[in-house]
Amino acid sequence: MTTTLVIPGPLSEEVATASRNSMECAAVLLARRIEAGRDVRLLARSLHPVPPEAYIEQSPHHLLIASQGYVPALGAAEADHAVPIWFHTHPGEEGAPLPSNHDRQVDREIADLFQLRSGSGLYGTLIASPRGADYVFSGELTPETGETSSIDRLWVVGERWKLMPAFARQATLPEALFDRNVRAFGPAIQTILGDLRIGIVGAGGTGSAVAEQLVRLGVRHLLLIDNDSLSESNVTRVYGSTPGRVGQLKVEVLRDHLLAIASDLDCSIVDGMITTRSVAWALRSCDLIFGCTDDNAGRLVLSRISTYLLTPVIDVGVLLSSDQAGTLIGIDARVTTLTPGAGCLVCRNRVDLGRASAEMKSPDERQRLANEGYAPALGRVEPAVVAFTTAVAAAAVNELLDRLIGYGPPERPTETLLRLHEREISTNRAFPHDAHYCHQAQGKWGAGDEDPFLGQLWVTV
Amino acid sequence: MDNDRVDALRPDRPQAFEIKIDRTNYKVREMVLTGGELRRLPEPDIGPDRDLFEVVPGGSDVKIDTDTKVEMRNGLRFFTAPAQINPGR
Repeated sequence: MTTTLVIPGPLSEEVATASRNSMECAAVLLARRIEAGRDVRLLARSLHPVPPEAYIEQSPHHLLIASQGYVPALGAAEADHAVPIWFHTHPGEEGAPLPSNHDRQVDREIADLFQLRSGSGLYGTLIASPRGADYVFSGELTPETGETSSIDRLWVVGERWKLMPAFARQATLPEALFDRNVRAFGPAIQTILGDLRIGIVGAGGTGSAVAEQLVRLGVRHLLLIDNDSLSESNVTRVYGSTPGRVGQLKVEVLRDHLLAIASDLDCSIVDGMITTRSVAWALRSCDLIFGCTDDNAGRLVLSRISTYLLTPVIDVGVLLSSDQAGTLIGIDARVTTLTPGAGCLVCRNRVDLGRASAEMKSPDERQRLANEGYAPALGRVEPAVVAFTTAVAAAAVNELLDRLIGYGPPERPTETLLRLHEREISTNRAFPHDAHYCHQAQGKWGAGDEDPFLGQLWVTV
Repeated sequence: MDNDRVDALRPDRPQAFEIKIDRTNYKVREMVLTGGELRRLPEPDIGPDRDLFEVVPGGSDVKIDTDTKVEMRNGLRFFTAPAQINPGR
């Protein structure tokens, strides 16, 4: 079992600021817990610092805190259906974020109270020490019944994305195979790439190109989702496809191809559509997702996942336009990054809601509405060319690398527009609309398994 | 006749109230208990090293001092917390 604490950028910055304080300080972090297969994810929701008046004593080495300093957060945890995580710092660049004897005594004193008053049955701990602009951490999760387990990794999702292993975890050196990568961005990023759980929705022209690049970069945990079979015309652009495999599931063709590149790849496949609840549910285990689907309804689901599960989504779109003679006049593509603080695909007007609605209807009903002029006609075969789908796939993977490495300017765009026919690239930033679920004030960041899942209705199949 | 005696004579008055302190249920017959009296319900008493709080669902829990009077009602929940905790290295 691996436990990951997922924390939005602004909350992580609060933790970093506290860790840089020369005085030890404390807070209660509230997080919702979800079980994703064998793994646990804690989705951080809010941080409740101990108020200054509750510190009876405060020094660089110890604290004495009155009950009013931490009790109010426990009621808030119950109201928010959250796990209370007792957070404090061990200051100093040399500080080790490991529990001391004092800390263990505190754990014994408050664990039961935290489990009981929060109603979660769980007590979490988090200790942080500063390391430059970042911090290092250790953490644990203790259920009322059962054994304490460690918080193994911390996934920060904001302007930058940082995957931090627990302090005590031994760093492994990347294999020699990745020497050229390591020379470009160092061993730490290479290790992170190998540890990330990445979902790819769509295994066609862009999805397969994204997958192949990720595996060659060193990504070793993939979840591929597609409900389509390989057609003859897919062979022109789907990586790993051959004429001999036409008719087989795209996810199987792609998985086999990727395993031939990296036999140690952990690659799960799902033959299904993301508009199905069970398929969307499978994505709860992912750290980030590439959206390589061309359906609008699927994009609506991905948009919600990015907010409700704190899972960044890099959404990819390509549109080739032709004139009446059938000659290419426009090659437009976009790479849109959905992360806490960025506008979702609806706020950006990147989803055709009419088509999304039509896609959710049965084929007969859709045809009837289209005939009556109440729904757009679907099923049109769009042009697609491997050079362009690969170009936008590379731009999407570049986006991931920039978010991990931070090689670009600090004011990161959340969308890159490629106008290949003009040889132009531009970027933009868009923010959530006030009343939309992706806005922080709506309380849906890290909502997790709230019923209904992702706050939407699901079609029963 | 004081208010407590008037209440005691009301036919709809419950004979006892079920309340909870930490994980244990208690049945009390008094209309009002002080913080000190509540502290003496568990066996052994709640020691001075722990604070007593009344659960306020959807609100901020209230610390109950020794002389604070609390009107009893069914389902009332209390919990105790270490009065001070001492994390450090």
